[in-house]
Amino acid sequence: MFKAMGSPCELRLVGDDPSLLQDASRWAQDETRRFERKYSRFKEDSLVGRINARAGLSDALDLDEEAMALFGYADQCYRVSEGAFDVTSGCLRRVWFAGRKTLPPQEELQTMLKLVDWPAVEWARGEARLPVKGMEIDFGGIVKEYAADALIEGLKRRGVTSALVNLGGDIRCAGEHPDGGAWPIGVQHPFESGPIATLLLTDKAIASSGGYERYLEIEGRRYSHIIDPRTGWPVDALAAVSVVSDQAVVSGSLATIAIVLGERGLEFLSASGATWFAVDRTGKTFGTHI
Amino acid sequence: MDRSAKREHHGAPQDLGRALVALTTAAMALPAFSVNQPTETSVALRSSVYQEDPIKNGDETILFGSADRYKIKINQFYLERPVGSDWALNLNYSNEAMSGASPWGASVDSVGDQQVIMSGASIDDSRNKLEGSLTKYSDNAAWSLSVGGSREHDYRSNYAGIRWINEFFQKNTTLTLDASYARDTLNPTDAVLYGRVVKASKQSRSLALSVSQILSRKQIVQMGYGLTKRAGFLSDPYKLRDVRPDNRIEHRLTAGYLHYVEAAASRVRAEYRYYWDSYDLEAHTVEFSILTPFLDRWEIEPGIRRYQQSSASFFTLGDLYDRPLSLPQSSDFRLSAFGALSTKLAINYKRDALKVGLQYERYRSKPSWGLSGQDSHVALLGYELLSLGIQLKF
Repeated sequence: MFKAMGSPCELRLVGDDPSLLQDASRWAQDETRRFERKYSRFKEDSLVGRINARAGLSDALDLDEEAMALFGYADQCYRVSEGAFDVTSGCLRRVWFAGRKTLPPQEELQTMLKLVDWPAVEWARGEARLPVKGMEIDFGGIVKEYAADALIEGLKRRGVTSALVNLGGDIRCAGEHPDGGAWPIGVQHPFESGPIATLLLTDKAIASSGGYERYLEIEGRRYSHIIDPRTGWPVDALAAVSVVSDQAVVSGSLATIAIVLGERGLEFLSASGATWFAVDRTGKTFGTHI
Repeated sequence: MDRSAKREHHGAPQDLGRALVALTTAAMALPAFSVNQPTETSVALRSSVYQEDPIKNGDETILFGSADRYKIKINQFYLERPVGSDWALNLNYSNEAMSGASPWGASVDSVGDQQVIMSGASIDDSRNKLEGSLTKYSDNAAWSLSVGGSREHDYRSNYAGIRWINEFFQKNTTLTLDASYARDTLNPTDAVLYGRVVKASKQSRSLALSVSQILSRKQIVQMGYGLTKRAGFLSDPYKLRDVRPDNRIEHRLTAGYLHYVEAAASRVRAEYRYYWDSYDLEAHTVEFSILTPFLDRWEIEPGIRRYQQSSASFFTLGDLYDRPLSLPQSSDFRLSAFGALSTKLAINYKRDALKVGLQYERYRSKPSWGLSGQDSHVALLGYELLSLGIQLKF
């Protein structure tokens, strides 16, 4: 267990060679921290921090191959969700800030919504620039999940064929559990103790999105911290969504899209072709295996 | 995107079913997934026994020689090893030990029935084949160079080939180009005694292009075209009277389709191949197989293949000794019209880095399964093939 990306992280490596496992574990922790240093929006000197700090300025920031590929992936998330997953939506948190006691006036929301505009982000030829001051990008729902995938792929290249990587609930596993067979993974129910389902996963990933642990209470009503980038309003039709697929990054973005789509998210998940679980705000469970 | 349009659309995206495919495809462009290079060393061994059926009604159809046809024992060794961060080395070695008789020639009796002349009871021979290839992987492409050769006491072949694979459109489309050159030399045994050619050679040049396209998460289509030009001594030196044109141009068109059936976790494969060449031989192949996992670590794959070919323009039922040697003729059953049906069953067991596979194939050919109105050989081929393979990764 170690802490990175603002969450508890867990690495479980299985194998016969202790020195190989130790080296691989050290590499995986370093690699997790590298992702955090590079993509955290909280760190001013991270790539994301620097892109955000230069919003509205004329000079673009260089992107390396990995960052360019992540921008490409974010673009695909935007297209597939028709705008429901927009990595520029983080600025809406400035409206729905913690401790807010009154609902924001519509004009304030409209002003902020002008800054939510992925198609306006200039990212091409290895450079990125946010055209308007105040715009920001946030790779939540993508980078932590992708890091879980990158760790597993890197561990395999280092000779570790059986492993589980859990970065704050975004899980990818490979090979076999130490006792043999698949990795048992519980999907937590948002309101009840105990899992909605326990899955046996081999070479699969599961990632979740949910608004139930953090919320705002304004004028006696609870508002989720998940905000629809198209309206600027919190969405809470679904309390939690977990998606199983081959890659954690795919699971994470599908879960994020579904939660933003709210009630329509169930329809989206059913048609997506993935294995999934969802709990709506009343505690009712849905999913491919329920 | 038009901002007002974006704001108005609050429903679920219309093209829902493609989300997983679209995102999985996009994810494949991320650097962690874009390494095609093998990450493990893989070693495989395979042993096979190939047994041709004896000629049916041998008493009536064999004019001379043995009814027992070829039996071949094949042992193969395969090694794949990553080298550095983006190279891989492959080695392939095989040994074939063959014994049995093969048709030497044919004649037609007084009522028009074909009779074959077989070689004596047994020909014993062995073939050793070694092939090596080196592949360089980059993000969306791979280049490989292979060289190889095979040796028999009366036959040697050397070849070299290059292959280029490139993935386009976020890895949805894969283009493969192959080019190869082979040179074969033959020194038939007892050449002077039987009046066979003493030494001869032939060259083959091949070019092949294939495109595979992922249509959806469950469907892949593949199309290909291949061209081979052979030049030199293309006749069979062991046949009594076998004269074939010394140029042969062969064309192959293939169309394949793969479908994953989610409910059964099965993979269904269908393929059609069309072949035609400058000997006027035309052939159609249709192949179908279904691979299904069961009991956790097992897979079963039954398959069926139907084949049909027309005869070459110079195929003769009986050897024509009065035809001048400048004109082509051959009584080789492989150039006659026939149809064949092959049924296969493969069972694999997989556990961690170990994979064991057992495969059985039954092949039968008949004149009546071929195209009507063309001459078929009486001694068409039937065979059984049993093979056991083991693969280890470490």
